[in-house]
Amino acid sequence: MNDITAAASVIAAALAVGLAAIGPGIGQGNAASKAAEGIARQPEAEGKIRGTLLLSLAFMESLTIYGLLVSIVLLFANPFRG
Amino acid sequence: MADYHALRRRIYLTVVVIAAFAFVVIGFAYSLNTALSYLLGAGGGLLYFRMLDRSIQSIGDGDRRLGGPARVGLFAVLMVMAIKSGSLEILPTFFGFLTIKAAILVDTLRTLFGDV
Repeated sequence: MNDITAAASVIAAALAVGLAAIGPGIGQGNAASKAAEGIARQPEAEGKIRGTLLLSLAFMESLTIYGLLVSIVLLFANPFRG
Repeated sequence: MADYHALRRRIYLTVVVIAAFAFVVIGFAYSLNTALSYLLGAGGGLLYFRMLDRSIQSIGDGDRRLGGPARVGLFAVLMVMAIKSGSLEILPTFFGFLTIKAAILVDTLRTLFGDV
């Protein structure tokens, strides 16, 4: 792998994982805070609220995981290496 | 909390059923290495879901954090293991990890059409 490809891959990997973490991070924070509010207001609906939160967080975090996968592939199994 | 525990149990069970079925199909259609890669990914996905589940159960405890690098780090370790091992494959491991999402979708659809 030449120097320019290596440098571009490292920058792309950093950008992929960094940018992919912003949106889900904000979303998870919002979802968790609203869930905590909901549980405080309606403790009898705690099970349903936690269940919905579990499912939504699992899907939100997959966006971060996609970015992480791209960066791992760029770093450890780069398809552009010569 | 009974709803939540029932949901967790259903999802764990669905993941195990899907993973077992997919392991057999992949083992016959491709190779044992591919099937083992898938199984490694599915096991990692189950562990990831368990960590997420424990984080969610700890909401409201005060000093516990919801996020943290452990869950995403688990995925990174899994993929690096698959890449560096030489005998395992990347894509089956990744799809194995995504089995948990398939199980969630199946459960959501079941709930959706069960209510109608």
